[in-house]
Amino acid sequence: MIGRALLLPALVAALAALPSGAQAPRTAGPAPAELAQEAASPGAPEPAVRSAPRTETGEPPDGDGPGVAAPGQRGPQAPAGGGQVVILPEGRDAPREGGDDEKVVAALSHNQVSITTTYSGSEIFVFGAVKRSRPARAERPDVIVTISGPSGPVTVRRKDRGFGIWANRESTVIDQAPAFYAVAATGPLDEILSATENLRHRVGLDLQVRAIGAASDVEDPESFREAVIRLMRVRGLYVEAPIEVDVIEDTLFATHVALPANIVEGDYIARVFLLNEGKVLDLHESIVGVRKVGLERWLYALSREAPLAYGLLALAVALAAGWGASEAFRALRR
Amino acid sequence: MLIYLPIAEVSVDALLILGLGGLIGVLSGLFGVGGGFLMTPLLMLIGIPPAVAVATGANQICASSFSGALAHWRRGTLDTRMGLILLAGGIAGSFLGVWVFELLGRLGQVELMVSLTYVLFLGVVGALMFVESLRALIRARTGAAPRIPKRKRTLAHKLPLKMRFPVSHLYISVIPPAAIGALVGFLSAIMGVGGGFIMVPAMIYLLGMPTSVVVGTSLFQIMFVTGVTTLLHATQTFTVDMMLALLLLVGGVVGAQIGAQLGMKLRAEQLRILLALIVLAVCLKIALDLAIEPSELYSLAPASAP
Repeated sequence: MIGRALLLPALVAALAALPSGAQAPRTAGPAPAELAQEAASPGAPEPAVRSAPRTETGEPPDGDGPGVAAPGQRGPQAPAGGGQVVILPEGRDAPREGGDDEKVVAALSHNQVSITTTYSGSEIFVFGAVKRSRPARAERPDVIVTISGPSGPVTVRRKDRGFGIWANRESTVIDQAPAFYAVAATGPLDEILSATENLRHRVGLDLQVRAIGAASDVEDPESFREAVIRLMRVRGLYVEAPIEVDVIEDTLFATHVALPANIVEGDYIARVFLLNEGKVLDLHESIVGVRKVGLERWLYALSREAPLAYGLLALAVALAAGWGASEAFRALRR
Repeated sequence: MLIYLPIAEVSVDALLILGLGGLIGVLSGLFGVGGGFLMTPLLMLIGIPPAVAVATGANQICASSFSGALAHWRRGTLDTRMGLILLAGGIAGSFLGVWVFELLGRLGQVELMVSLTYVLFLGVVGALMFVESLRALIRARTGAAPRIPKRKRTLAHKLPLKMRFPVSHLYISVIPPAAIGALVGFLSAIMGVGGGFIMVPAMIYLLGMPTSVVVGTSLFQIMFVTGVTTLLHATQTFTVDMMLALLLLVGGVVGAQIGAQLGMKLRAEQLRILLALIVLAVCLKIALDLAIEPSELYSLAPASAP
């Protein structure tokens, strides 16, 4: 949270500085990250450096900052320890059509979400810029930001009526369903993203929830799959549409994604797509580590690693509390 | 004030949980029931996963029944000897219950079986208790027949292996209490509750124990049953959420003390008619859930569950 609080003024300063002097982003001039660093007020240069993506020269801005890229590493394969921004090597996973040299640089307000005892949700601020080697085209660039939680199989059950009683009857397993998924975009997905590109990158929520081998055990697996999306939407874990990406001066973009209070632990992947006429020009991936910390971490680890000790501790706490209350009330009565 | 629960992996309002624990605690101290039959549905209602609700409920009930049992023990309204015999039967019964539960699990439809057992037992026990206590209340109101101190000679007086229970003023065979304990242990393994709502009327009507002693003795037995359940869940299903349990039991133990105090002010018939009404209400709710078409037919569960 501290990182985000410090970052916001830096970015606002960078945005404010734009109309007055800087044509830089429209040309092949300094990378926007450097721009942000220059434009930031002297009071807050540190956070801007910390989270800035790798610059064009490939020099990591700060050796031990949490948001620093390791050159050549790819997001999903990156070691899970800590949250680090990992920049895709140029050209990989980023099909560039017709020699269009547009790339996207992006960063997150924080790469680590700590679930403490009082955790009640948090917000991730995603921002970045379009980097060009030639003057910008006329049209506004389209940007899609997705954040997805750890994905895994989930069991769906359906109630049916039999003998006048509603009970679970059919059930199936949906092989792939992320624990959290949010999409933010500059416009409606079906307008800014072609169907093929959507399929290739699985951007739409509908493509994230997949049933591979479910066809055998139920008649209509599709309705079970839709039920997953519906139930997860109700819980606030699947978010689409209302969140938007703002684009400033055809170059800078920013959005924020709210993580609800009921998220699970794991590595969350943030993807930033740069699009033109439905095609993905560039893709940037980073990892947000969501971790339990402190007491939460300790209790969870104990319950998994030493369940007997955990159970005995739970009993001891229960008996101590029962005895304590009994004694306290006895003392009160006297 | 929101608190994140490490095992349930949800964020809940701490005050709501404290209040819930307190409410169950009052019932526990007042009636000698663990409150599991109320706790589990209420926890699920506020968004706790069912498995965590059952396991953590057991942990909380263990604490509140210990608190209540202590209060009764100090007042001399706990028949330890009777409690131990009930417990011996209860342990045997719960082993059998776990075995049957696994069998049902392999056949599927555990959830349905649990609901039907709830409806059946809550309905029968609640209705019997309601009718009996209403009759007693009317008798007391009209003043026609003051309670006859002489007790009916039940089956418990005829069977062999007789034992003296000084606290309950009984000289009966140990077979009926052991059988009741076994039945309760069996049901609690299947239904995931302490079984107080069955044990309390059984002790009053089948064994002829005085109501004042029944509550403490029931709590004594529940304390052990839920303790074992907590350990089993912690080591086998990993669903005991200590943070949730702590919140519930802080409310619960305080509530149990208040309940025990209240219990001394209310008359026995009034106590029983109140418990009967609560039992019937829960029974009706579960029956309606089975009969009315739910608004959402689908439900999600972790893929590892059968």
